[in-house]
Amino acid sequence: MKSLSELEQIKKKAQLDMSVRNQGGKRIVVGMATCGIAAGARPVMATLVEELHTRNIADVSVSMTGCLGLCRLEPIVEVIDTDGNKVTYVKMDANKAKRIIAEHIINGQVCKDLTISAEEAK
Amino acid sequence: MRDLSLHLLDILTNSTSAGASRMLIGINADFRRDMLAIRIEDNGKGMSTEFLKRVTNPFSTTRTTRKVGLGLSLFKEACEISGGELIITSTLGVGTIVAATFQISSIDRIPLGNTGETISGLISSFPDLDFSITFSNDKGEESCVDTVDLRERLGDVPLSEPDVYVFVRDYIQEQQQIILGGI
Repeated sequence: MKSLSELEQIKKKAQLDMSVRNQGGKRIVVGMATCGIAAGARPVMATLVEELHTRNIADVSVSMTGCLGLCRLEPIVEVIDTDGNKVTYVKMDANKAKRIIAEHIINGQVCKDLTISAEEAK
Repeated sequence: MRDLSLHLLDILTNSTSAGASRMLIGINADFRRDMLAIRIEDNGKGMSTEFLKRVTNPFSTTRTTRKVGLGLSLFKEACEISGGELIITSTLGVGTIVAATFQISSIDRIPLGNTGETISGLISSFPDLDFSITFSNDKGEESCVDTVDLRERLGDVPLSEPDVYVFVRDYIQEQQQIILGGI
């Protein structure tokens, strides 16, 4: 059984991570309006955060946002780099989320086959 | 929506859009009376009496991307098909209370699901807002997780840290299991 006192350990570890952190890394945004939620956006967000947690990546943030206006392509994930350039991934699931962390976030290679332009070209 | 925790996420994103800074969630299972109750209270901008009357109509929405809003209509449907009801009260400038009930044993009632994943996702996306979730049952058992307490324990470590997300999610889900069981 978990106890809130475990947060003390998490705090110590996070403080260490924060001190070596390179500020202002990439941002990942997940569409979490009714359309996104119904299509499975919440587990996609969970996988993204879990992957950052297990791989100990500290300079990337994941947050939810409202409807991105493309409900038929949900779940939608946007990766925004430090210059504000945005890559939009559509019809996401947990496995695709793992690929985005490994290929795009870690190796800097956009997963071209998962982007909105690849989907619209079908 | 597959489970009630997804509806909860949807309703709480309405609260954040309405500018709420504090959201109180109460989930009570009364097994003797066969009733599950979910109550969400926020201090957002509230709704006018006129908007409140049509808020569960799918053609009511504040979103600007399109003209239908299904969130509350779907939640109302989920309550009513399982022998419960949805009551929304709201005061402009004060906030909104969404109170939903469900008959626990109804075969049409969808499961509660993972409220841990719902709340931790909101906490890490809106680390400056306050969320409090309380589970209770008819044996008088109760458990509460409140961001005010979490923030105090974490000091300068933000609630948006991935490590915090994972812990809070698993902790809340465990409390849900302990107090409410697998409903």
